[in-house]
Amino acid sequence: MQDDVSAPENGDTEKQMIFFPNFLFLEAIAAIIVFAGIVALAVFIPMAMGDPADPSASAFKPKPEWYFMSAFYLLKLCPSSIEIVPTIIGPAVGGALLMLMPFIDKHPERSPKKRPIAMILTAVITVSVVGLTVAGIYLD
Amino acid sequence: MFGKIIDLLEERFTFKKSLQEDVFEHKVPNKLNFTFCFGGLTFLMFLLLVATGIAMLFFYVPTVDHAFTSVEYITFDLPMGNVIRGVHHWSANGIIVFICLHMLRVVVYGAYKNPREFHWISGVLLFAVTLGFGFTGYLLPWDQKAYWATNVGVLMPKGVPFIGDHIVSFLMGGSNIGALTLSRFFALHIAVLPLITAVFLLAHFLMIRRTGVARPL
Amino acid sequence: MADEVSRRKFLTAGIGVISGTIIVGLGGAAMVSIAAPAITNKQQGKWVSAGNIAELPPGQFSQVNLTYDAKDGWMDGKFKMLAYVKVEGENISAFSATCSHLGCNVNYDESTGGFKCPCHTGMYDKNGKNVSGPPPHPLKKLEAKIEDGKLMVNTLPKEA
Repeated sequence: MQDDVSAPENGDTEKQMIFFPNFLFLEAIAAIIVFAGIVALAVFIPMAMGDPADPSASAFKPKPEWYFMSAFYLLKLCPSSIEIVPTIIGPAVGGALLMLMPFIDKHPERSPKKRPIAMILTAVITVSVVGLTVAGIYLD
Repeated sequence: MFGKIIDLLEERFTFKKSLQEDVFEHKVPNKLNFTFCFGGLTFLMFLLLVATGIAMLFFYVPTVDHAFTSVEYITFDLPMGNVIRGVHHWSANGIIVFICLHMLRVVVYGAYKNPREFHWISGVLLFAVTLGFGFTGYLLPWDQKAYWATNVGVLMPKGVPFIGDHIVSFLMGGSNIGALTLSRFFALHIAVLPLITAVFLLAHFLMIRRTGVARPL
Repeated sequence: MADEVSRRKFLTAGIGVISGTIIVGLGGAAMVSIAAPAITNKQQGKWVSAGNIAELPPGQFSQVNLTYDAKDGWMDGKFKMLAYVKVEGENISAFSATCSHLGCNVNYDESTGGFKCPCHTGMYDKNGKNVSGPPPHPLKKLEAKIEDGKLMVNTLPKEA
């Protein structure tokens, strides 16, 4: 076990900086910008209230939050006979694969230019999730 | 006076030395760009969510007859209430965005590879827990959107072979969405999930202290 | 020396057994109480009025709101549900509006005379049978009878 793995990995003497305050300052700049954005959204787009929950409402069409939209829209696209795919098998297998990625993609090469398959897969998955989300929001 | 108290505490906890070594003098690669901020920004969102969440906990009542009106009170009557709820809402959306960006950065830089496999696994689990926060928190205002989105979400495990129906009634706390559903989602949202998050977050941070940030390419 | 090792083993095992008992006992008790409502919190069927027979248009479906009181965990809850009823002479048909797919309320669809779910466009025919889209089962039938000129509906769907 190496003591400090952040030390140059190839043995070359790469320059390092101290986390505090050098990197944390960069982090603080990013933080204040994002914080200002969040507060601005909260102030200028006031929260509203819908109607109280009513189980007897007809025709209320539930819209999930945008981050569940891709899954929701996939569920809508899939025929009922394979419904178990988007509701259970998909998330379970997808989550497991995502979690096990470091053990599937074990080659030590880290440069994105030398990992075409990983990069293409990442792009395809990202584009399809974004596509399903956008489709769910605008077409549904 | 203040310095003396610090010295007395230092004698007992020796925190200065650990802070000095593990935080202040911790080395990171020199060429970090702004994409290395996404993890920290995710943590910022988490802190904002905790702070605004605790503030709302002073007013919110998790019962079917008062949940809606107490959220209404927070939104319209409570001074700064709308801002507190708004920050909670937008941070909840922001945390998903920053987690996704953070994960994309880690994938592109191949930073999940040895020796950082478990950083990645704890991160994926944190992402799953965050989605759990989103799902349970969505029900709490007990409005139409909340009720019907939960209705759809909670029935999804129905297709699991053999035990699907049992999972559904376990989630709902009975045969329908009602008082017990709201109180168990509340318990998950403010106690169970935050505890799980704290454990995995601590692991995530301690491991990245130990191995350092993956060198940019 | 051998004594020391076995003593150490005994103490270690003792600590393991004691903490295991505490964790399993406490965790088990907590889990039982958390899981119990899934079994105990079941609704009983209630007979509620869906309106006067005279006011229901004969031979076609009417949408009715059923409101009833029932125990909801620790509180006396007011429940609401949506149903479709049709009286055609002697024949009464009543369906729960809950879609068998993911529980949205279905709408009456005039063009087909059946029902349509707004969530994932599942279609049912006039007998409540699922004809297209994701729904895996027909709409649930509700028991119905006429009493004193009123249409009474049981809130708990008949088991198919």
